Amino acid sequence: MREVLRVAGALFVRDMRTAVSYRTGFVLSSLGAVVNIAAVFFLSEALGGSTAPLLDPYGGSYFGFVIVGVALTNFMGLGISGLGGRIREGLMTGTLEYMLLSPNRLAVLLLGSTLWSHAFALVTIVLYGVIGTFLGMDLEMATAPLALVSFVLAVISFNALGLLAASIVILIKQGDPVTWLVTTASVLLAGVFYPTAVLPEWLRGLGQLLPLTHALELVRRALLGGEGLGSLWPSLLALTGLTAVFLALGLWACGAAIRVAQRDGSLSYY
Amino acid sequence: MEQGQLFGLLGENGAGKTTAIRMFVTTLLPTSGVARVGGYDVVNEPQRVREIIGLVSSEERSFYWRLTGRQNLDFFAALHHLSPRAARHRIDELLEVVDVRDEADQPFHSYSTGTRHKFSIARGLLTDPQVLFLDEPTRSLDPIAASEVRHLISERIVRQMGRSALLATHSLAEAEAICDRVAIIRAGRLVATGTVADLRAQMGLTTLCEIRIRGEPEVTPDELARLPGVQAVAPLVDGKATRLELRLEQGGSALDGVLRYLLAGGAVVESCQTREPTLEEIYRRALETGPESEAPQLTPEFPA
Repeated sequence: MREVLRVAGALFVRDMRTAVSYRTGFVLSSLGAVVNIAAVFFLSEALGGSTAPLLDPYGGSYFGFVIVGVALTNFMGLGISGLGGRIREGLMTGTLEYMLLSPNRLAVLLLGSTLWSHAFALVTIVLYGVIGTFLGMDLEMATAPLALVSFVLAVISFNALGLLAASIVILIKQGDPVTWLVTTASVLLAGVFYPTAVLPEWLRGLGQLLPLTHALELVRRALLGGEGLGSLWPSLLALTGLTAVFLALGLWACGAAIRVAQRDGSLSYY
Repeated sequence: MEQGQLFGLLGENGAGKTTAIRMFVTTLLPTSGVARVGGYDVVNEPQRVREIIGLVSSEERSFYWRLTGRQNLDFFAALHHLSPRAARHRIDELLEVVDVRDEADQPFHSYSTGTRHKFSIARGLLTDPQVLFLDEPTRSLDPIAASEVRHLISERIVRQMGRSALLATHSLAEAEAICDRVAIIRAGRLVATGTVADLRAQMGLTTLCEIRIRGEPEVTPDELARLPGVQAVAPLVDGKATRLELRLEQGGSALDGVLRYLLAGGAVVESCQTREPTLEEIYRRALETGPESEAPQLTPEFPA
């Protein structure tokens, strides 16, 4: 365990040093989070105070609803495309081959490679929360522990999907159909900008296959609606199940992709 | 390959040197055949193999260019589970060995190609490996930098530190200068292996001898060619002197008899020079004569 933490720490420090070395990019990324919140705030202002009944389970405020949607979608993007991006970068530079020569499990290397971006996104999410609260997002009724557990599960499920996407990148290098498919479907079906209740029944059914759908439902209703496990357990169960399935599938796919790449010699070129 | 040796893997571009190295370091699975490093099978015991090897390539991009050389080494040391204290100590030691201590805290992108190659060697040595695989470590280096790297490999790493090293190169001069033994491969197959002297013998290459004589000895080239150990004689008149070009059997032990015969025949020997076939000649002969279809498959074993 100590060795895993040391490796994870080294991957985190490497990425932090690299990110900070690109000063302009780092500052712009930080500013981007603030701009996003402002855009969402003005959008909800434009809609006026009118709260649709469909938003009642989520505290009734569109601002809070969308802030949570955008924040979790950002995390999903990081989790899914982050791993593939890291693999692609490692293939292009030749660093992946050296990393695979180390005595570490593939999952540790891959997931550790996204720690910095997750930490940065976490700071962004806290920023969303602080500024959102300042601008009127009501968190007084929040069931924080359930929201936190749901959030952690969601992050794991996003990274599990990321492993699937990474295995495709290892095999076909360019193009990432998993990221495209999951991101597009999630924005449409998971209820990022609107409650899923507005969707036709059959589309809503498809949305149930996406971790983001359940993650948003859980975090919003626990954080903004103050609901507990008593009413949210079906969503928690669904998210846990999806996470377990995608994680097992992702780890298997990544291991298989590496073995294929080891056989055809494509681990060292892009 | 024996322990403490510098073993050269020679071949033209596309011969399979890098492919072979990538199989030995376990990043590429062989389609057939067996290879063992330190007694461990590269297919069935890859983890064991990784624990005892180091890899040095000439691929400069395999570092993080926004980080310093020291930060890069620190990162790879952590991946190999060196404690922070052990890593610090080891990195300081290696920076001395490869002579880049003064540049260690500069960004990697600011280094010269030679310095980057030295950092690559330092990275390969981080875990104090038993066997170091070097894939064309002097490629694209200027002659002085290449010479420094060659000296570092042969003198510091192999002779002083006692490490075994396999050097893939297409530079025959490099292999001849520093390798204890060499293997020549073509299209993924072993064509010849041994010391340079072994290969000269295996390839049937002769010792070349040039003798300049004066006077008019009562000796004919045909008589010389019939002496034991002499394979061919070609006389060339060069002004007042006669130049004889002889091909002697491997090692040139027939030279003594030739000289005695000439002196006894009344010749005045002005000069005598012998030359062993170069590795380049061996290499060309091996590529010409090595029967691709009959050559054994590459099944090397590295020191336990």
